[in-house]
Amino acid sequence: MRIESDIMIIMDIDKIKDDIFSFSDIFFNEAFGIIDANFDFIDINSLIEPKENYFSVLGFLNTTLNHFTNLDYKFASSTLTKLHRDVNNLQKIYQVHKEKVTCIDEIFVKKFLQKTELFQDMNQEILAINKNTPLNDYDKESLIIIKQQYLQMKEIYFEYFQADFSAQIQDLLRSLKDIMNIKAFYLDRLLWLEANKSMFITQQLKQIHKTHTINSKIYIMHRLQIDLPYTDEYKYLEKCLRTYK
Amino acid sequence: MIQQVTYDIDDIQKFLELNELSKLEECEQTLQKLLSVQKKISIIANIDPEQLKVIVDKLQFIKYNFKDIIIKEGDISQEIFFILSGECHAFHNNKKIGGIKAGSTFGEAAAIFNTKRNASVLCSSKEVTVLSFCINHDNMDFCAPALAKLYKNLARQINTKIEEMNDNLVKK
Repeated sequence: MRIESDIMIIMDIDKIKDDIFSFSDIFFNEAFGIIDANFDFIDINSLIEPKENYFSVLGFLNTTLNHFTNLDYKFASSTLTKLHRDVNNLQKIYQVHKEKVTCIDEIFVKKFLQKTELFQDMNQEILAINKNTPLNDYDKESLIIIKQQYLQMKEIYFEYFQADFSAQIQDLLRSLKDIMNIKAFYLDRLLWLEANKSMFITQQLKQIHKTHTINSKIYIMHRLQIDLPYTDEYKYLEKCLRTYK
Repeated sequence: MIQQVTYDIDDIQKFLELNELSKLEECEQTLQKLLSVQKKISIIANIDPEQLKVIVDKLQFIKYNFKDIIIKEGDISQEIFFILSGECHAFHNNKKIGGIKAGSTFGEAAAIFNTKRNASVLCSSKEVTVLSFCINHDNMDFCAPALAKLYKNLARQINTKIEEMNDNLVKK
């Protein structure tokens, strides 16, 4: 009897894990597909993985690119435009999944429970009993038992779900960060390569640096000289400068 | 559903160009770093900086951690190492044959005589920073004086090591 009950528990845990795996597989399918495609692209083209943290300067690169586009709307090549869009898309995916970390319980209730056979069956059973009006004593007792089982199963499932879901999200965010770091590095290089070729932009930048080509470091140092200290933007630029040292 | 960006052959060409530019930039930065510490490195201290840029190849500043193998006995490689900070131990046939301190060079014999590494060198301090480079003989014609100086400095290093070994033998 004891052995049988142990086997039952093991089987149940396997079932729980299978259910969670099936859900996660579909839930993260698109995001992990994008990640795989990106890593393949990086591998095939031997893109450089920078030692510096370019992920943290994405905001600066975004603002600078928009500012330069205002100065010269033709300065960005189609590659730079694509790369910018690509990085922005990745940022959106990152943000969407980052927010999911805080609403695991909501996803569990609204998505997972709705799609898992066991809970669907239990829901059906509860609804079926409720249809019998008026409820007799047996129905009432059955309802109490099913609801108790439902809550117990929900609690057990959530424990496993939370652990698996958090691990998957963290893995996904880490991978996205790595990809964005690499792409931001290229965005930085391409941005300045093309900005230095634009007459309209270089005319503006001449005040900053008269002889050499401009890069992020020189540009940020200039901005720090003219911007008001202690503002959020100033502090952010100071942080960005660390990437380029 | 977010529309994925697809890159065409022209875009990839640009990425590859950026790769090349980054490598050149990194190479230039390493050279500048070398020139900034040149006077402290005995084997290259008296070489004209412009010629030095030409005669050194595969220049790298590398950090190793405790117990990391820097060179392995029997391997074939051409790098010469100069310890900028930290300490190393040299092993021959799995026996420790000596310590190498900051400011010392190792690996020059295999580089000069084109032989296998005659000892393994392991990082013995918490961290070791080394400068490693190969000698570029391609520009022998116009860099002969610099190469001659480099070889003379390396010969001096080898001679110092032999003298130390002799002293140790006499002491034993």
